[in-house]
Amino acid sequence: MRTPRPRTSRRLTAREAEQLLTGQPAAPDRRGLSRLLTAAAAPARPDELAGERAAVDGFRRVYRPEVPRRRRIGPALRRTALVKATAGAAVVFLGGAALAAQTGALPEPAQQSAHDLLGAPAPRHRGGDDAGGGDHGSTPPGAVPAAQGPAGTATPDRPPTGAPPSPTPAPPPDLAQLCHAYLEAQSHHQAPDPEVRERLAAAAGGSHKITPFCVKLSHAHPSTPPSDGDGDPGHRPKGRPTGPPPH
Amino acid sequence: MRDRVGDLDEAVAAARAGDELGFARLWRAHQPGLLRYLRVLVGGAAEDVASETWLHVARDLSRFRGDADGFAVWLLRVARHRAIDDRRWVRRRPEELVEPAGVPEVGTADAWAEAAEHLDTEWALAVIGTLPRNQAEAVLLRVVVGLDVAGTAKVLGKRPGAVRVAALRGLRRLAEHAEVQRRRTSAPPVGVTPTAAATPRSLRCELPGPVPPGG
Repeated sequence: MRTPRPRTSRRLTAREAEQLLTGQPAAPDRRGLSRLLTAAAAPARPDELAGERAAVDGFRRVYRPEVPRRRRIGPALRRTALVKATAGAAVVFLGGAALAAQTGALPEPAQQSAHDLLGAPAPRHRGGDDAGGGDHGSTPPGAVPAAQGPAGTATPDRPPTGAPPSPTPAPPPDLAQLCHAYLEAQSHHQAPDPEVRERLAAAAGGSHKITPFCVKLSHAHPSTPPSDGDGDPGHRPKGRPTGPPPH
Repeated sequence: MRDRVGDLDEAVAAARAGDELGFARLWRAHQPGLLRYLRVLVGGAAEDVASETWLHVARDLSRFRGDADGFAVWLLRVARHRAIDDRRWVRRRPEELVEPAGVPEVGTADAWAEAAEHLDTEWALAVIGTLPRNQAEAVLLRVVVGLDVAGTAKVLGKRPGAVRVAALRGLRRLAEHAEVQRRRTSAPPVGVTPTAAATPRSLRCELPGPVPPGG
């Protein structure tokens, strides 16, 4: 691999190398190497310094004085204000979403995204068994009022006309239909279609959450057919929470 | 060249504020070493790369924070990036690297002396240029540019220990180099007339004396 070279002198030590590299006098048997390095570092020749005028011209042309800070206060302030406003909006948005996520008030896909993104404590585990009990975390057993209360707190300024709050994404249309069917059946004291029930349970995060889930869905997206037309008013609290939370 | 690099703190401060004289001082102090370093790296493109490097430095100088040592490291870092990113590392045989640009037409004694000195430097650079790149760079930055181990390490993006090892290995190779061995015993470094023994082979025919021009 490496071409063998005739070694006619002793091996250079690290100390000698440092001396040679810093231009100090070397031992007599290093004269050849010393001479090589001295020649490489010889004083500048005129032709090496011939370009000075051009270099200084270039400096004059491209040199940019540092902009004093005072001049940049205007734009800087504007930028700061913009950053603050953006950050504030993000905090409000994320805060609302986090609160909603914490209380399990979001539809399941949004719920999981919120937990992943915001790190809000999950009200329950993903895909947990709805009948298990004991795994409810912060969700009180009385699912309906519990879910409605904090949700109302999270969006206290929502107009009664029902403009959808931004943190709640539009649900898939079939989910709204399923909800409609489910609530419709319930309002008539009929057993809902098991398939509908199963799908809604998956979406809501448990069969005991289907009703609050669907109620929320229906008034978060008023285009969905209302769920509580002529049903039994005393059976369960229905949508239209135009007022403050019940407790 | 090494001793000129020091005491340039004032020049750095002045140039940073836009002073042309300060910039000129920096240029005079660093240009020869920069040029020699680049000549080994990129051969004939050295002048161009050096000019680009100075323009780059001039443009950003007002934002530079540091002393003369820091400036030298910055300058060489910029040069090295330009040389390595834009061009290919040129590794040549010593004979090919020596350019006869400085050889005088008229054989006055002074001109010959200068040419001999020129050839001597070019010969040295050519020999260093035969080293593996990391060794050549370490030797050049330390000897020709005059940086210390820490500055060389910063330019090369390596640890100081690696720089020490590369320079040591480079010097060991150079010590075994045939041309260096031959010169070890030769008398005065620079003669008035370049002798055949001290002149790289390819240059012998370029010198105006022995060979008639044309053909």
